[in-house]
Amino acid sequence: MSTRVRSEACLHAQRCVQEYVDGTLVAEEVTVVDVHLAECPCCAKCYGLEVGVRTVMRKACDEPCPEGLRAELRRICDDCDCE
Amino acid sequence: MQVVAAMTGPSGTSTSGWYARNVADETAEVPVTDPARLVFDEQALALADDVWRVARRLTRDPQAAEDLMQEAYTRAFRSWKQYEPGTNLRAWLLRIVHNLAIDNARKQQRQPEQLGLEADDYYLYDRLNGAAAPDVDRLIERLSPGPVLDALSELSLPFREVVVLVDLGDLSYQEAADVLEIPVGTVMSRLHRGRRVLKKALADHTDAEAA
Ligand SMILES: [Zn+2]
Repeated sequence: MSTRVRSEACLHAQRCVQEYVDGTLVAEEVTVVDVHLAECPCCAKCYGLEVGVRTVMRKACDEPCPEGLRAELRRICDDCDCE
Repeated sequence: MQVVAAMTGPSGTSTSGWYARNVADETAEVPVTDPARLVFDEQALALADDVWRVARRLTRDPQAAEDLMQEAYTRAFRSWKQYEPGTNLRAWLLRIVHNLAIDNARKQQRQPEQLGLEADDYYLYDRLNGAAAPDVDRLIERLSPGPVLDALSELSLPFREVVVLVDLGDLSYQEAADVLEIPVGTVMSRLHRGRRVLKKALADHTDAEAA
């Protein structure tokens, strides 16, 4: 696999991906990253994957508490005689 | 502290749940639960779906998750007074879940290998730079969650916990740091490394699909 030279802007964007996607990156940095993402398909894909992995995981894990367990928790609650 | 029933009104004031079962003799002074406790109970039970989402992924199988939930809620109801109203109850419950999960892991003495955690930070960058880079949006749309869930379950507990608490439990970095009793910087770096493994699994799966 050929490794294209990683530009300074790409390195910066790669360092920011987590905080950018989590919404904890400071505003000025967000602007810098946005500009870069518009012109760098590779970084844009990396960011897409960062979001995507969470979307997929979230969707996969979005199962409700089983009803039997919910009833059992209610019973544990009712039986707890602590004050 | 115990609140004594001030109103044991005419029969039928309350007919269900704890109250009904405990009001055996309405003529006597009946101890009732502290109203704050009732509020706590309802709020904690209402969070069962959120707590389950986390507990399920901290354990290997549904049965272990159910056991963990029951242990956690038992402990929560017993120590409800330690919860400070107005603070994040979900984070409070998840801390209990975390403590129990750690205890269980210690008992089992089984630490799975840390697959892929040492991968190059720029692995994906270099890979997605290739001519055959996948269209991520399309990929996500038709992706089966299996590979990501498998990768998640293979992460060792310290990394899995951070990913699960932040991405599934919706805790902030700071809240996760408080729950896990580790610095925020450690939360961020574990999150980064944990997610990197998941992204790699996603990318590998795409390649396999494309092939
Ligand atoms: Zn770039």
